[in-house]
Amino acid sequence: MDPNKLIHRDPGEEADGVASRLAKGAVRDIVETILRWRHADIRLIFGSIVVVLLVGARIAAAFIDVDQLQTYLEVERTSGFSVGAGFQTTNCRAVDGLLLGNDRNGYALSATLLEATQAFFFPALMSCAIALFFGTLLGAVAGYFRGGMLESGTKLLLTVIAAYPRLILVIVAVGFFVAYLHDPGRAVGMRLLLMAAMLGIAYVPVLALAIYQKVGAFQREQFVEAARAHGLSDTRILGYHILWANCMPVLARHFFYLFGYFILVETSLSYLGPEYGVPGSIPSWGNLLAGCSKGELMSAAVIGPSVAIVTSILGLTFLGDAIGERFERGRT
Amino acid sequence: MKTAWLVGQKVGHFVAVLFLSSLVLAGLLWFSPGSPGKARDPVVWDKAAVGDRVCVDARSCGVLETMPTTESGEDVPDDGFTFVKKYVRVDLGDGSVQQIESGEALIPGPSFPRWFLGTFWGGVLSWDIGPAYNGEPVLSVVMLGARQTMPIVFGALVAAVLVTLILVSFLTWLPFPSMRGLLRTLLLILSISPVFVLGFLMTKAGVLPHPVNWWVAPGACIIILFIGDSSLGELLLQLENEYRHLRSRDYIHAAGLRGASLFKHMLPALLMPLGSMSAAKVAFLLGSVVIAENIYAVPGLGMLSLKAATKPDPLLLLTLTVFITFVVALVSLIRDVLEIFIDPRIRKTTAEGV
Repeated sequence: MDPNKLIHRDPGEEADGVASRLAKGAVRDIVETILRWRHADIRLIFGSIVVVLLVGARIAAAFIDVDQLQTYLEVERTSGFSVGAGFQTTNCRAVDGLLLGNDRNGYALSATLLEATQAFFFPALMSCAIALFFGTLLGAVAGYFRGGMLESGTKLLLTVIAAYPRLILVIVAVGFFVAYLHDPGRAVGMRLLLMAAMLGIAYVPVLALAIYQKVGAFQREQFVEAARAHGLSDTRILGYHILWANCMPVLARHFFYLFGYFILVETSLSYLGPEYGVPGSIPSWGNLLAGCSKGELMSAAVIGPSVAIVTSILGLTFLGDAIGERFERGRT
Repeated sequence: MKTAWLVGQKVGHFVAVLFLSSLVLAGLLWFSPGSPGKARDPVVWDKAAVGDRVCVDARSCGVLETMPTTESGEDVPDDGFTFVKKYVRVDLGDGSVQQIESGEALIPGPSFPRWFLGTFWGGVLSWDIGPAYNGEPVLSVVMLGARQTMPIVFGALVAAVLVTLILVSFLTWLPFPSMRGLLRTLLLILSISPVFVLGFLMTKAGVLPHPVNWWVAPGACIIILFIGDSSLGELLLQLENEYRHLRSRDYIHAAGLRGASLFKHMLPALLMPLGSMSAAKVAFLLGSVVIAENIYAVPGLGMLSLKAATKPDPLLLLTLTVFITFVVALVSLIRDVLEIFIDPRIRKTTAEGV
């Protein structure tokens, strides 16, 4: 810099210089932020958007009023002898005034797609809570107290549970406990509850194995030895130093995996029929798709539920993968 | 000798898993409304005597105090024309005595050990558990269903493995890294679709015929099973990981430098991880086949399990589930035994006691 300019500064020139420096700095910041997004994890962003949309849909479902709009189209019918006029329902079609048309019951499809989140949201949360609790407990205990009957017994129990295909376990529970209920309302509630409980239990071996490996690896770390040397109890070391401080990303990853898997199971069973999933009067993405199965491939009634199902499962799986890669120690 | 010991351990583990899994399911059934331990059959009074154990309802049982008599206690002969109500008294054992009509008294159900070991497992070994909802023997119904389902499941597994091997070879050959990532992502998106969505869309798009014939339906099931429910996607990711690990090994690198066929050197090393992945996939496919069979109306174990759940026929459902866990455990046993024979490190590690 010219030393003369330090002594003889023109105020006008100086103000211009500050302004231009600020402007250049702002532009540089914006460009750097945009460039930084190149390295952003798209899976994390996509998954987060999906989760926000699911939660928003569930909240919206509690407030929306579904408009039943059954419209009829006048058609010509022939009996072979005479031609007469008749009416044909226009459900599962595009309808003026409705964003995505209507579903097979005549309700606005856009509203029922939101309402359908009620069929899986809280049962999925319950399923995840069961899996997280029992999976963490069994995996942590087996991983920390290695080499004894506790580890062998826990591993045998987890092997037994893992031997059942998850969907078969759900069907067994429904067959043993729900099929004898004659009250349809109670049967639906019981069915969703059992679905949530059984899927949670069936997922326990997967989570327990992941926690078992993590706890086993962390046991040999120096911070654990230091904690033991300080006289901390096993409960504190395991509960806080290992699980809380280091295993939360594992739990978060499996939470999203299981949530997505619950959506898959619930929509699959609802697609098969009201005896296996939720009845037709309760909207579910599965029964919305089944109800409009005779519609055209590129109609909103077919594309809407399909996209909702695939996007939800994909987003939750991607989010789980991204959390695992980004936050888990030792995971590549 | 050590090999025999290892194989024996694995067989023992298989038997333990099978027995315990059937025990858990039988326990669930025992506490359900359709429990076989409930009293159901009426007492045959010609063969009953005072002091016998009888039940006043499905769950409450006690000791018979009196044979059937009229309410007044008179001995009225049954001439076949006059309807005479007779009563019995049952001591329930908790200090209470209940009087019920003789027609309402029931023979007590079996105890859990007697039913589980005698009726169920004894029936499995003698091939006679009991009748299903359609009157046919339960085991015959399960075997008929298995003849439809097992080819579909193992066909889907073989198809998934072959397609994954081809895809991994193609992806590693592809010279453009960005194309590789894009193709992998598209395959994962296709694979993550649930089986029923895939079947529905493929039928609508005309890729799969509709309505399906009896000889096309199994093929359609295999196609949607090996792609959907992340079946193909997971295998692809796991095999790619194994391939990358193996590719970085020195002996593969040396073989490449010498101009030898990498495929010839890598394939044997990939077979064991592939076998482990495939064995783990069997349980998954046996669950997904329920949906696939119901979409294409294949009368296999999947469709049978849903029918048994809704009828309800708990004995058929129990037998079916035990059979499925038997298949899953058997596949794991075969994988473990093959590992023992193929991988000498397992026998050496056991010999050194490490």
